[in-house]
Amino acid sequence: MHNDRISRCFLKLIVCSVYILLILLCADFSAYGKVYIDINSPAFQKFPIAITDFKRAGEESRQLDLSIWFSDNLAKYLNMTGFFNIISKNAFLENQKQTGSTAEGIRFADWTAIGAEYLVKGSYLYSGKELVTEFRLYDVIKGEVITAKRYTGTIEDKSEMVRKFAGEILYALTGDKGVFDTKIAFVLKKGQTSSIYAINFDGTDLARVTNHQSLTLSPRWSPDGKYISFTSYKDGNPDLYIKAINSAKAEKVAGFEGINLSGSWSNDGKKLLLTLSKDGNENLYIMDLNNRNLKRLTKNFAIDVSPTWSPDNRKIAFVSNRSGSPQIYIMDADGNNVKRLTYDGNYNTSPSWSPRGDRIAYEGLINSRFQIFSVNEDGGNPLQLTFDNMNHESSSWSPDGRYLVFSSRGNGKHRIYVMNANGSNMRILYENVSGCISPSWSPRKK
Amino acid sequence: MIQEQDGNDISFNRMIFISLLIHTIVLTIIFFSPSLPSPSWTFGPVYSVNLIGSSEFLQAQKAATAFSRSISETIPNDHSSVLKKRIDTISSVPIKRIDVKKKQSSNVDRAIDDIRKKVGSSASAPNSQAQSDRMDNAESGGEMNAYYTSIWSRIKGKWALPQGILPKANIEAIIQARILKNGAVADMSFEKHSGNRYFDESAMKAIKKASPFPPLPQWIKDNSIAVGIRFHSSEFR
Repeated sequence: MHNDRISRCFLKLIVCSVYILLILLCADFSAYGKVYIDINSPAFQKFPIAITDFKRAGEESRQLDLSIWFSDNLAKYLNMTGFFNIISKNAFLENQKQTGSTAEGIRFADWTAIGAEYLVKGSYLYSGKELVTEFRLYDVIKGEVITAKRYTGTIEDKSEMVRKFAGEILYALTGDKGVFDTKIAFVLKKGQTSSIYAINFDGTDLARVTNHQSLTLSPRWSPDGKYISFTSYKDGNPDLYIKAINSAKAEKVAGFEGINLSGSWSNDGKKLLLTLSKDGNENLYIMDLNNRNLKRLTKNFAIDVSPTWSPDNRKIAFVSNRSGSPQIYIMDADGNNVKRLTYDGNYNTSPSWSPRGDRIAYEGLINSRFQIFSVNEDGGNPLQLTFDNMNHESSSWSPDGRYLVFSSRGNGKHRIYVMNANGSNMRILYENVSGCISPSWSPRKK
Repeated sequence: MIQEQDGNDISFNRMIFISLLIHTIVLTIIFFSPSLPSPSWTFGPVYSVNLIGSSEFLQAQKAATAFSRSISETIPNDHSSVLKKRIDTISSVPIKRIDVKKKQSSNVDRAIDDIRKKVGSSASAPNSQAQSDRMDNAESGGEMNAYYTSIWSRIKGKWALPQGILPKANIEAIIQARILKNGAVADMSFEKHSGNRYFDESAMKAIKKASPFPPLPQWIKDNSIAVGIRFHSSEFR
């Protein structure tokens, strides 16, 4: 038995030493066997893509020439996303007239040579009544089709077709269809009155939503995009209304004494956050839209305004001056557990919670100008997103969380801007001199 | 109870043996498999040379002569002192000593000179060899770094990925590839996926666009080298 134990010990020792030897060998092997090269950030923040002029499939020479219209419009929409670098047609090596839109005849090396990663080719057939288009997205490095679509419609649908395919490209390359079919509502001032208008993401189709002949403010979309809530002085007091986009009639849902301001809608569309001053100073409430019951969230002598849900509806961000200056706070959806979010600057307002859940955008006063900022829910990684000498206010997230819309004023101009969530790619959506404020981004079409 | 313990111990040993066997076999296969990256170029002959620089070599020579001199000094001195200390007068010792020393030292010097000549003629070759090898080593190390830097900049220069399409967390993908002698890239595969398809795709594309790389440096004897290319999103958002 004793010998056994000794031999066992000895065995264990040998096993251990062999293990150590092996581990050392392994370490050596991995240390010398392969070199790792670390690459931390890409040289380009955009996908390089080439779009050739579309090929006309019909024979008739008198029909509309849309070859360039299609390629230019697709380029325009892809540019709007801020994710694409459209390669100039001047750089193309391929004779566009000779090749069709199918993979045959495409020399992919000609496209990689000019730096393209992706290529779009298309064709259309217009018979006078019907327009049939075909779009193909190629991966020129792999030399294969990524996605291909055929659309049939009338000539009026051509923009819609381009938008749809732009969405397909975005989906194929980023996993999200984008927000080409969304609208942005905002308040357009005219003298002493204002109305709510809506405009497409691409800046087209400006359309009036309300016509109260009075001051109208603060539009907020319902989660299905069919309704809009807003505050109007139609009856002399700032009352809260809800209106179906496609109907002329607006329904008053809150007409308490003092202000009745709309916050954001809950995900299920059944509840609405409100700011009411019926009990003295401004406080936050939740209204059940089925029975109009109110639940008070804040009981405070300070002013609490601008409530917005987190995407999961478990938390609410809002503005309060309880610390002396307006700052952003976060609380649980039942009003408990209030935490201050912003500490930099002495005027931070209008929080908007990203649908992705990770960021809260707001405006802050810095060097006597309002600029757009965003910050993590826990207050981490605060970023200033706008820097010029205008006042930028009332930011609102796109439903994919990749863009922000906001209003700007300065230099005698009023503008609605769209930019990417990192502050890049700022684009004027609407511009006038009389005033446009308080933009709100619609959900996607369901 | 004891029986049980013993049984356990036996099975434990058996387990260890089996595990050891499997480990040894797998590691041996990995280590000697020709399809896997051979570490030979990094183990290369350059390392053995690096230790003997020309200056170190000379110093070593000096040390050797000094050492041999001190030995040659002490040994005869000891002899003389041991032999004559008791018998001779003190004054005579230095004279004898000097004589002995002179004699010895001249002998030793001659011997050393001879040795130096011998070694010098034979050592000058290894020495220059060592020097040139050492230069090769430095050169090849630098060359290799330069080579990796060129690959790095080529891939980075081709990597296109928009901000804002990534998830919140920092992600990382590792692609392993084999660079052939002519710079062509073969056997690309993911050693680690990032978990984001679009990130992985863009990383793979970057390498494909960046290839072929420059041909491998001349001194690499292997037909190819293995590299791992790590793409991070950390500095990205």
